Amino acid sequence: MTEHEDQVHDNNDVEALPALDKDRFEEQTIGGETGYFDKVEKLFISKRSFRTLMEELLPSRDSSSSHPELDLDIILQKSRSRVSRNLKLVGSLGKDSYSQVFLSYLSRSFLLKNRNRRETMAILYVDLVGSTAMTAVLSPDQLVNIVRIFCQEMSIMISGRRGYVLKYAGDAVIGYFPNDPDTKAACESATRCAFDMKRMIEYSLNVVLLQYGYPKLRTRIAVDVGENQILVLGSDPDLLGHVISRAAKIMGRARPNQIVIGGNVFKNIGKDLRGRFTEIEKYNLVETGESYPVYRSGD
Amino acid sequence: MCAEAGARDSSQGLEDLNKFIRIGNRSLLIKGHSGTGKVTLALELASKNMDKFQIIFLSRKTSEHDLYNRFPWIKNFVKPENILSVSGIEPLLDDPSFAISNVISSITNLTGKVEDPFVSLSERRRPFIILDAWDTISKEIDVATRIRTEKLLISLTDKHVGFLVFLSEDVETSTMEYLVDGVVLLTQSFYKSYRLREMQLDKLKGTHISRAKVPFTLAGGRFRTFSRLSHKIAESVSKFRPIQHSRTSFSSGNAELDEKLRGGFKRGSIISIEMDEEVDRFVFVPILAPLALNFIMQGDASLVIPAADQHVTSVTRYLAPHADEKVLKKCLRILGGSDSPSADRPAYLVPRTSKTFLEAYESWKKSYFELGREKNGCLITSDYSFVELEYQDEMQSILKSIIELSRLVRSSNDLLVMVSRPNYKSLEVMKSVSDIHLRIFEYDGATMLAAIKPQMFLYNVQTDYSQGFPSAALVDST
Repeated sequence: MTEHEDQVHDNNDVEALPALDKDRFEEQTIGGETGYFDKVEKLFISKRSFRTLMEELLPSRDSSSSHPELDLDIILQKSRSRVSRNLKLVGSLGKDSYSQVFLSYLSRSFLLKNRNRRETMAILYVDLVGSTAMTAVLSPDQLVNIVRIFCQEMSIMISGRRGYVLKYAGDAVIGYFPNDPDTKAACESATRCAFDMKRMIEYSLNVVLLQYGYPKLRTRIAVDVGENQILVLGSDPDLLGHVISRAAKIMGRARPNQIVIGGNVFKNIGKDLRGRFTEIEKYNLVETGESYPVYRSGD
Repeated sequence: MCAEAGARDSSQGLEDLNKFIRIGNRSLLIKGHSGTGKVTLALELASKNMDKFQIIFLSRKTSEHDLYNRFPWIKNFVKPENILSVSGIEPLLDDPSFAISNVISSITNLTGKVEDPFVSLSERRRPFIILDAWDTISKEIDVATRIRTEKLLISLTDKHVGFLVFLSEDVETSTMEYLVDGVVLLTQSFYKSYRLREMQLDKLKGTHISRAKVPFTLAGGRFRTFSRLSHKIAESVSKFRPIQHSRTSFSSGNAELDEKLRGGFKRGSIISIEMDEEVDRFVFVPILAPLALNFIMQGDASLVIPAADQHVTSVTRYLAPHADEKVLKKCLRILGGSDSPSADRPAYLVPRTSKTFLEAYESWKKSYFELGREKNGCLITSDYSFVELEYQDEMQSILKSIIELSRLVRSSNDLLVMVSRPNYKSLEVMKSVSDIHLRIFEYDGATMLAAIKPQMFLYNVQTDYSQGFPSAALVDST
C-alpha cells in the first residue's frame, strides 16, 4: 500500500477508517448518521459519503503493482456523473467541492510530514487552453463552474494515479508524484496520468459539456521530474525547485490536446510509453545553459 | 395581479423586520406574554432568511418533537441537529451555565453537512440563533453576570456575522433593550369572544418602520400580518363564477364565509352591517359585490340601493364587467343614474326621481316586486345611514321602512342586507330586527369583519381579484 492510501486507509473497510488526523477529524453522530466532523472546515461528512469519496479519489487498492491498470470505463462513467451534477449548479458561485478540500488536506499532510526534505518528484502541469476566449461565450458563473469542474476532474485523476494536488494556478492544476518506490514509478504514474487526463477530457468532460451546450475543452499537459525542496512558508507547505518552472515552460511546446515530457521523464518511463512520444526541439536550460530534450505525444 | 399585491402587503410588517436583518443588524429581542406568538414570529423570520443563515433553535422547554409538531413547515430549514433542547430532566442540563455554553457553542461551532463531496460547497451559512425563553436562563444568574453574558453573546454573534433572537416573556423594559439592535413587542387583546393580536415594532436600528403597529394572526400555525385594504382591481376581467344557493340558504358568494355561516345566509333572513366611520367604503367591493353577483349569475335577482352621495358608477364598475348583458338586464337593478340621458342608460339602472323618502321607498318596493317576480330569490342591499342623512325630516318613516321591508323579505324568503353606522338611529332598529349582525371595523389600519350576532367569526378582509372578479380574501384572527 502506498503512503498516499495509508494516510486514509488502514484496510478496505471504511468503517474501520482511518488514519485520519484526529486533531482535524472527529468521529460524530449527527441527525442519526455517523461520520466525521472536519474541524477546520466545520463540515460534517457521513461515513456513507466518505466511502464514496474514497472510492472515487483512490480507486486503486491493488498494492501489488506500482502502476495498476485502472478501470478507466468505470472512472469515466463516474466522472460523467460528477460533471453532470456540477453542471446543474451553474449560477451558484460556491466554493471548491469537499473532494478538492480533502485532496488539499492529503497533499498538505504529505508535505508537512516530509518538510525540509529534498525529494525527487515528477511534476505534472495541466492547463486549460483557450479559457480567455471562453469568456466571450460563457457567463462568469458558467466559466467559473466549468473551470472548477475541470480542476476537480484533473485532481481526481492525479489522486487516482497516486499523485497529490499541489495547487491550482488560475485554470491550471499542478500535481506531484513522489518517488514511491523510485523515480521510474513517479515518472510512469505521472505520464500515465497525463494520458488518462486526455481521455477524461475527451470521453467525460467534453461529452457532458456538449450535452449541456457548452464548448469543448482543450488542454496542454507537461510532465517533468527532478529534485524539489519541500518547505513550509508561513503555515502552508510548498515545493521549491526549478522542475515546476521547467514543466510550465516546456508546456509551451505542446499544441492543444498534446502532452510534453522532459528528457528526464522520457529516460524513466517504460518502452511502451516512450513509443508514444517523439523528440522535438530542445529547450535551453537557463540554469545550466544546457539543451534539455523535450518529447511530445502524437495528437 | 391584485392577489400578489395583497400578498406583498400582508407581509409589510415582516418586510420591515426582514430588511432590518438583511442590512446587517445582529440581534433582536421579541418580547411578549406566553402565547403571543414569539416563537412563530422568530421561525417566520428564520424561514425568510434561510438562504443566508443556518437556523439553530435553543430552548429549555421545547423538544425537537414538540417543535416539529407545532410547526411542521420548519422541517426543511431547521434541521434536527440544530434543535438544542436543554431540558430540566438532568440537573446538570438545568444549570444556566450549561445553557449559555450551548448557545456560545452554537454560535462558534456551526456545522455544515457535506451532501455530495463532489459538488461545489455552498457558501457557509451564518448562525441564526433563536434563543427561546432567555429570561428563564437569565433569571437564575445575577444581574452583572447576565449583562456580561448578553454582551458576550451579542459580540460573538457579531464576530460570526450571525443573527441572535432573544425571546422573552418579560415585557418590562430591561437593560437588554439597550444592547440589542431591535425590539419587538407582541400583545393580544380581546373583542367579544375574539382575539386580536398586535406586533409593535419598538426599535429597528437603521430601518424605517413603515407600520409601527401591525395586526397579525397565528392561523394555521403561521405568523401572518394583516394589511391595509387593497384598492387594486383585476387587470384582466373574468365573469363571476357563482356558488350555488341551497334549498335553505343563499350563498354569500364566498365559500369560506359560507362555511362559517354554516351554509350561507338562511333564506328569508335579515342581515345588518355596522360599519365604523373610519372604515374604507371600498370594503363593500370584496364583501357585497360577490354577494350580488352570486345572485344574478344564477338567475336570481339583486336590488342595490347605494349611498346617496355615490355616483352609480362606483357600484356598476364592480358588477357590470363580471356578468353578461342579458343577465344584468334581467336580474339586476341599481337605484340611481338620474343624471345619465335615458338613451345611454343601461336597463339595470333605475333613475332616482323621488323627492321624499316615502316616494323613494315606494320605488324600492316597486323595483323589488318587479324584479323578484318569477325568481327563486332576491337580494336587497341598502345603505340606511345615507338614507337617514338624505331624508332627515322623515326619520319615523325610515325606521318603519326597516321593519316593513324586513317583513316583506322574510315572507318572500328573500335576503335583505342593510348597512348603517354608529350613532345612526337606523343602526339600532336594524340590530333589533336582524338575524345576523356583522360589524366592520379598523384595527391598526387593517379592515376586520366580525360576526356579533351570533358570534361566529372575526376575519381580516382583503380584496382578492386573483380570479378576475371581486372576491374577499378572509383570514381568521386567532
